[in-house]
Amino acid sequence: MENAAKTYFKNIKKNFEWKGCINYVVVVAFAIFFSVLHSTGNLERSTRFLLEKITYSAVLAVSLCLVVGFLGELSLGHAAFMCLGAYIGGYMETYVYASFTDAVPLVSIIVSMLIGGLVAAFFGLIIGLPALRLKGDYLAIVTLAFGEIVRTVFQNLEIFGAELGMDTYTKYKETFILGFVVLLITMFVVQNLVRSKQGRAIMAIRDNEIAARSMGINVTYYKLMVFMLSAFFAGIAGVLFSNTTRVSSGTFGYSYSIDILVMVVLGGMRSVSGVIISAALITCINTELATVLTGNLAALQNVIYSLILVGIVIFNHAPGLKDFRKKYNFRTLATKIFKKKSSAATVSEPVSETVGTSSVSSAEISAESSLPASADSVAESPASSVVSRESVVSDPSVASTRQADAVSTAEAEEEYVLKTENLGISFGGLSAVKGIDLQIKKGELYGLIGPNGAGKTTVFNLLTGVYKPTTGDFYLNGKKLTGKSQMMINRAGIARTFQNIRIFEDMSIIRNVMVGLENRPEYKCSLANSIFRTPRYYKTVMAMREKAKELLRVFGLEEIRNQLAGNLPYGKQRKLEIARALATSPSLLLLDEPAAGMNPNETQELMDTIRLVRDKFDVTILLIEHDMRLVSGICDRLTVLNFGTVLAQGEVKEVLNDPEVVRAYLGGE
Amino acid sequence: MLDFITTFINGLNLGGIYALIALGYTMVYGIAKMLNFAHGDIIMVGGYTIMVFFSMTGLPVVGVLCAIPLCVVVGIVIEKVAYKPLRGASPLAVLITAIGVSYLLQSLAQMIFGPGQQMVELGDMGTISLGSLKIKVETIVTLLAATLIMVCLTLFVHKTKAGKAMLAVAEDRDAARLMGINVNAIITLTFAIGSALAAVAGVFYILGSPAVYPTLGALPGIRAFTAAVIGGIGSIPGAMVGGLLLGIIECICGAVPALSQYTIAVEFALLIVILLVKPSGILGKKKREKV
Amino acid sequence: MKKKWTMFACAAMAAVMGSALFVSCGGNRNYAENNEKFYIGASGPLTGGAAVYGKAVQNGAQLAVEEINAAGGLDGKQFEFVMMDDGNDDTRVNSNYASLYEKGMQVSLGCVTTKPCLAFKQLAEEDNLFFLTPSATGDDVVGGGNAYQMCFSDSGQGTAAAEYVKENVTESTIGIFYKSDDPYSNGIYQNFISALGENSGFTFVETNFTDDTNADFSSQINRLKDCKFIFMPIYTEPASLFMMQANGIISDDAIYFGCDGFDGIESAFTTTPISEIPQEISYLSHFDATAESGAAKEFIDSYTEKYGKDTLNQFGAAAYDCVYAIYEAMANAVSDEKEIPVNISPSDLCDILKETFQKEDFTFDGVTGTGIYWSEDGTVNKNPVKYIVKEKNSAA
Repeated sequence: MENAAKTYFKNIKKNFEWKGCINYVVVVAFAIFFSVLHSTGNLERSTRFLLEKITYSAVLAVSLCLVVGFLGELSLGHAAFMCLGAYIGGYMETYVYASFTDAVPLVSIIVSMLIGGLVAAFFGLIIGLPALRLKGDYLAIVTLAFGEIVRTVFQNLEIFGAELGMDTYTKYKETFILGFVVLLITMFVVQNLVRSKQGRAIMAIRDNEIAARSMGINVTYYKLMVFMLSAFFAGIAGVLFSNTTRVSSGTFGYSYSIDILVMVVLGGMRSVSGVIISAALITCINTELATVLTGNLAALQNVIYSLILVGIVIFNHAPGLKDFRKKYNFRTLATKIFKKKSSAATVSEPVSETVGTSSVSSAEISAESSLPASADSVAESPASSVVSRESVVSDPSVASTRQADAVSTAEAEEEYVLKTENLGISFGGLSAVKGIDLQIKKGELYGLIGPNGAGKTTVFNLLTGVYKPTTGDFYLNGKKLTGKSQMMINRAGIARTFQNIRIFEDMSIIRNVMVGLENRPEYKCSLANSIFRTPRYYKTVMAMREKAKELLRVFGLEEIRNQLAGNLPYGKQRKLEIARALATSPSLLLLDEPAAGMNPNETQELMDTIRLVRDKFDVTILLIEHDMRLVSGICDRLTVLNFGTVLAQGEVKEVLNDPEVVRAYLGGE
Repeated sequence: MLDFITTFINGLNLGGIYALIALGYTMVYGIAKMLNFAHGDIIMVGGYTIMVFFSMTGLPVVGVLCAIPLCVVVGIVIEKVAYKPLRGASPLAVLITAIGVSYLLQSLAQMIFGPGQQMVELGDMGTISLGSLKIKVETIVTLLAATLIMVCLTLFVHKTKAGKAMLAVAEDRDAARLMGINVNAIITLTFAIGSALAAVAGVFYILGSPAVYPTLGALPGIRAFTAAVIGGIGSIPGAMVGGLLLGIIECICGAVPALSQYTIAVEFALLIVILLVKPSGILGKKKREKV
Repeated sequence: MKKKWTMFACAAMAAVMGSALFVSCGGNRNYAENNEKFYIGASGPLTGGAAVYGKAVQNGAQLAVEEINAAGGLDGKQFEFVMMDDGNDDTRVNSNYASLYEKGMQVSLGCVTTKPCLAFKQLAEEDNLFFLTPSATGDDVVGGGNAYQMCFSDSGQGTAAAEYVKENVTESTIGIFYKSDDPYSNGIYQNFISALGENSGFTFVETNFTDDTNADFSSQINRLKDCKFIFMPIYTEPASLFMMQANGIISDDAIYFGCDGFDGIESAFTTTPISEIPQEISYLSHFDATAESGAAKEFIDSYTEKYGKDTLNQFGAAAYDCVYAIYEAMANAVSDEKEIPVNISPSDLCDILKETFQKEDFTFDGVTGTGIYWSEDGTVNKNPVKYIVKEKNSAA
């Protein structure tokens, strides 16, 4: 027992992020200072009102930051959650148990906050549901619509005073202290969540949802969880609001949601500290300016805010300004000022967020010949995919004869890792891929080749659950996986890499791999564990880190594991993607054109890597490739696709010499 | 019955205006792949232009003729300054910028002209009576204009070189670029046409409701987006259908006393339902995300 | 280790320095103790859509204060008036209130509009601060004992309108057009209907609009097209819009009848003159901006001379009356041997004013009425008058 405690505290000390603590210290300092002033009767009422406003605004901003900055979804209806909390919590507190409130106001407020928060969280769930299906723009509009609907409903409910709103209990003088406490709790939960394994998963979803899904991350769970959590805190902020002033629906409209968004963006979307500072500053400035600006000039402050908003977003996100950003961001400027060790300013683990910019550290850029990540954009060209959908199916009888040959030579008694039966998919009546029968043996290196647009990636998409087949089935180790979700398929044991590399560029290399470990049952760790940093949490994370290091060692990436993945040269990025896929412990690994864009040296290295992977990780590999040297160099057997159907199948030599294949794909004599 | 027909016709009037705005929205969305939140506010800019020139010259025509080029210029400037730098950036960033631009336009208008309503009475076109049914002439004009513009736009997009280039850019920007299409110019052209449409919509809007104020464009903009989505975003006839439908629904809600104060809620609820059930809208095509 | 402590120290310093911004001394005490003049405070919309009303109140009150000071004040003690901007937003009231209170406010005109005034009332009750609002008509604005209205409450206006209708309207169908998300409009409408009661003999065609549907009234106009008397308890902007859109659809014989919100409606017609509207436009109010004689005329002259005509409306007149009413109540109390030093605490002043306003024989003659007296709950008693803005146009 003692030993366990010792290890726990040692772990905390080792992992303790001092940088992350400053904001707690500052907030507590302010809280203590003002509480002291208040208890000695020296706190002006106007100051108290201002503090109340600052604290609930900060809580709102942090809760929105979770959705916008960390999940990457724009929510324009955030004020609605505050509205729900304010009305419901305020109503309970003032009318339902009024005498309880008079007797013990503090307890009553806390109870009301919980009620308001839970109601808001429930609606957060409701708004999260469309979020699962809709992306970016559409989701933003849906959240806006939701916000307006909520406001309109409350505006018309007689029980809540309709358009006049309702008077609420505002006599508790220490509301601002409660506000500080709530802010601290919000900071604790959000920061711990974000810097945990669940946080990494959330950011993975933000950075590349498709990749995240393919790694078995339960996207549904995380999205809903984020929306609910953020709504919960917004609801609590609403209850705080109801304790400072009366509640009326007009306050919680679209423009209030925008105001909160401005606070989040100005504070740096991914920085909790930044967002709090911004909320406090903006609240103070608004209060001051309100007395100074009269008449039409009152709009000047909004003009300035909107200009700053647009300016900041362009500065932070314009691709053209990337170099400018590297030179002039907070981190490099601070480095210059404080003359810290800057040479290879690595992203230390765990990463702490900087105010403002998405951190671009000055990591090494390899001198190796490397192609920028976008070189492979020519792959999967639209024309070819159009062709694949509108393709004319080649003569079926010829194809099936070749297939029959292939099947008869494979030993039917041997266990197949992957078996597909008549697998196919049609898009709107046109078949993209049809009649695919594959049998892949354990430990094989199996190639899938064919001209562009033949449907190879489509087959991958079918096998990983991106598309649901319209005909046929497939089995992994005897288990039927047809129709299952991407997450279930990955957990069953299929992992993949993508034609256009989909690593998480803003995360460090080791983090990329750790995300891959996310869905493994041995690293399961509940949300509560993460937030409260229990011993189990540290144990899990350290185990994950070790495993990730192990994986990276195999690929020679362990030394540079703390650098940003986005700074890697192309070849190494590909290796990282493979390492990440392997982290999900698959039985079958699908590699989609792994050699695309590589020079002969890199390709040779890749061939060795692939063989190594097959041997060391005991995994079966199915790969799509155009590079015939690689294919003939490492593959055991091949399937050739053309126009969505199998053209030939069998041993490499046979297939590559098949006249049909030569004619259709390789080029005749 | 008569009531219903009149409500229906009012709905067509309003719907025609929404269709005009939605056309601009859907074009920009289809080609530039972004939700231009500031689109509605261009209507407001057009409105104030009309007001300024009208009060200077007393001639509504002058106001209208000045509004269209001015709106086009504003639209192009916004595109070049705020949206172009963000091409290739995350959609979230673009969306936030668009919101910022919208906010900016509204605040500028408020700073310059004040927050209150200013009347811009362009004159009445008169009313036609068919028995006890009264139809305002402007209703007919609005519908005719919307239909005419929609037809012209469709012809433009399918028959002219520039129009076809727009279709190409909408389909696949990179391929279009590789084909030698000047993508920048096309996108600028899109914003220009979209803004011109917004200006025209503004003219009709003010005809029907002769007041300008800084937040004039915000709600119609969002409603037009709703209309575009309902009809199928990216589809020109879809914008027309969606606009008319929304106008009719809004007028029906206005006519039913119990529903009247929930009008906006009903419109938004409809949007949410459509997005969940058939996100491609009534006339839209289903798009698959390429992996 | 050193690095951590340095960071701690920096953080602590930052916190203390930041807090220094907020330092002020004070507590729960009489902030008016250093007053050199009687401080009348108020909160109203000086920016935003309702700014014309806030400005009018500010001007009217300012005018009254200057006149009173010029005439010697209260036994030589002068007055000052300060209005803070709330933009018609009730969330800005509590900081305005706190600010005014800490600057020495002893009595108040409350807020100009109803919703903010409700927030104001909550705070004024706690501090026992007296306020007399010129224009916040909500029924719930009064009732705390220290809250008074110079204007008719919503129910008062609704009732008065109902009385008028009962006695003067011969049509059997009455149209109604109100703004359902506005407490003012909705309140009057509700009271109008309930004052008329079940067996009034009238049938109603009720239509409404909200902020979101405030531009196109075609549906509502269509439903009202056969009505000859349309009750519109709304403000001038939507009213003028309605009238222009209804031109040609609603019969030229119809009467548009509003409440005090119609005040100033002529100036809402900027490019088309109001004379182009064929129907009769009239309203029920307590101030006529075109008065030719009496206290009203004197006020109009002084006000126009100082502030011009743009913000001349009943809000300014009511504010003017409010200041005078408070002054006269204070004078009344002084003549009753009450002590009112210039640094009297707000609470003490409130008790004195409450007592005075409740006296049997305390009445007030002002611009917005004569023989005005107040009930115990703070509501005003005076006679409403119907004012015709423009007559029906003779057939062209």
